[in-house]
Amino acid sequence: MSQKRISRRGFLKLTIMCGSGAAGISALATGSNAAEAADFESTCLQEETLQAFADTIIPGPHSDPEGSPGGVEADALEVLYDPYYGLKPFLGLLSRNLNRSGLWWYRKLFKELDLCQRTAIVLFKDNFSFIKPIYEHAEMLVKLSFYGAIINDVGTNYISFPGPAPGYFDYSFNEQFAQPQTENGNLP
Amino acid sequence: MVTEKIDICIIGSGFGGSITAARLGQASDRSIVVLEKGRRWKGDDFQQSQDTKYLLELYDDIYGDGIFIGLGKGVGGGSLIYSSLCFRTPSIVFEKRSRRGRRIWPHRYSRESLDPYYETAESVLEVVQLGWTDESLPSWQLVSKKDGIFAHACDLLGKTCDPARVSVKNCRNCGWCTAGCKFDKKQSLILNYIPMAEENGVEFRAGCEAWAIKPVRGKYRVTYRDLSAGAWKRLKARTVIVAAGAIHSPALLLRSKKYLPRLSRQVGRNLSGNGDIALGGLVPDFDFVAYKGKIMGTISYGWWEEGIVLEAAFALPIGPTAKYNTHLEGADPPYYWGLDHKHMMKNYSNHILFITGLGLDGNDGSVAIDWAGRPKVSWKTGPKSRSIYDAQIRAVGQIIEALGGTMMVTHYMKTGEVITAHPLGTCRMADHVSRGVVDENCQVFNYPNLYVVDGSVIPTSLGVNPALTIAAIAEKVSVSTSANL
Repeated sequence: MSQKRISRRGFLKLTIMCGSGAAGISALATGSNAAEAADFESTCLQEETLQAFADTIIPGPHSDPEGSPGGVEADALEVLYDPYYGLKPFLGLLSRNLNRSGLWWYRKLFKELDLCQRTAIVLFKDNFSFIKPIYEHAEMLVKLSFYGAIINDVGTNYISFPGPAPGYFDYSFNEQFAQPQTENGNLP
Repeated sequence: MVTEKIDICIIGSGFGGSITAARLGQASDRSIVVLEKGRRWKGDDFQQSQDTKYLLELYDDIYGDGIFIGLGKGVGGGSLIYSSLCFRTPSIVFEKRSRRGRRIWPHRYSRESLDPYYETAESVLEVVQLGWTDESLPSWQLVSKKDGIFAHACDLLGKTCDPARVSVKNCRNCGWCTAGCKFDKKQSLILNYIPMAEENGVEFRAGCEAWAIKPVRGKYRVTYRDLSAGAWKRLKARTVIVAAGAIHSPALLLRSKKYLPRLSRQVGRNLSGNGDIALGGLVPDFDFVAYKGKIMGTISYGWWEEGIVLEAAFALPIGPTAKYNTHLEGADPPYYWGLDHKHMMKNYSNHILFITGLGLDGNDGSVAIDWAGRPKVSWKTGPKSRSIYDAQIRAVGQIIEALGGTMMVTHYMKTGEVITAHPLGTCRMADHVSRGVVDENCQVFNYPNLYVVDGSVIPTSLGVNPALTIAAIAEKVSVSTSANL
């Protein structure tokens, strides 16, 4: 991880800029829609940050040299935002936490970092963050969306798992490979 | 509140509850009600799906301190989601002794004394042994390719490997056993004992969670919640049989302790995870299409002298990825997500061999209740359990090495947290109230006509899958209980 630090003054400046950047931009817009615009920008930033998080947990075509799909392509964002999984109220906190780390360590928003930098931040959070349970839960949901085919089957296709099946005839080698210890499968 | 009067109340509908219900229903014309927290299931209801929303209807996941337990939920209990393995417990297990040299199992319990009941249960559950070839067996009754690879590795190490005994008929080998068998080929209790019970007048009430038991003038009053109606109800019965499993049975008794002050102090203690552990490795030289075939089909007793057995297994992808964490040994950095993990997972269906270990652990867990009366489970691995897990890790390491592969670091190895689907021991049977909760007939000490019949009464780990032993105990106890009606 880069050790290039910014001064406290500079850090506060950047945070305020990013945090209120949306509001700032919106303030330049038509006055009557300023608050809505701020909310919209803030929501966009949160979604983009979470997309970057999903891409960190299971890298997709832009980060994986294979070019294969990842968490974003598996619609992990939809799973993260699904109230059923219980993480939705904490997504803002997660997003802000990621962006603060990005700014602190790299002077960039989380979504602007490369895979190595994003990986380093999330790995650090896995071990040292006070919101570690939120990270663990979010990581699990991204993996669920990909390997569990919650929304689509890009993940299960990637691991060649066909999903539902009526059954298989070619499931056995039809050959003995070891000697048994018992007569009927039960030890005496 | 109106109190309904019946003769026999059974709480829980897994192997212990359903088998007892069926036999008592056959033996008498008493009114019998089975209360089950989960819903009713039939073949058509099961889905070949990893959707969490579906699986959480079927599974009752218990997150404890140092332990995670996966249980079945619904009429039929664990039989809905188990892998259908049915083994008789080796005789040596019944001779296990405490540190003081006292036999842990009641002195009249032995493999020999249980064998007639094993035979009965095997007959009803239609247990068969799988085979290697179809020379003398139907083509559905063979072990799968992953079992073949596992057996090959055992043979390379000079160890044995036996085809498993399963409760399955005309299996389609689709590999979705643990999501419920939609084809009715896995012989869950919904296909045999439960219809048998209902034919004899037993009433199964789904969506009813028993909360407390109170002795009232020679009978027992059971308070339960009807979850669909959102209403509390009561019934009074002369005989109550608690069969809610090794987590919920002690929790129920602990909630009722103020009404049952002479309960043994052993309630909730001695939790065993049956030495369960999930291990595996990447074996790129072998292509075995892991998802085809029954999810488990072989057992190696080759390491039994160390107190462990190993079984090749297949797990639906969400298990080892989302719930239990795995990465390759030597991975740098070693974590459960990211690019390297994704590339490892690409081998999931064809080159990753999962191996389940079972063994004679040290009963290092316990069940208490929290402020809301919900079960609170904790586990602290002791020396005996640790030696079992270490032996399993060593053995699987040898197997993966023999196949030229790379071992995976799985959940227990990384975190020390135990994962089990076979909790046992929390209302253990014994010869005396100081050492157990129930006697050899599963009757609660000091409380006539109150019984516990499920995995919680098994006082030690078994080293093999426990379903058939729970069934045999239920068959045995039903005989003595019928005589007392």
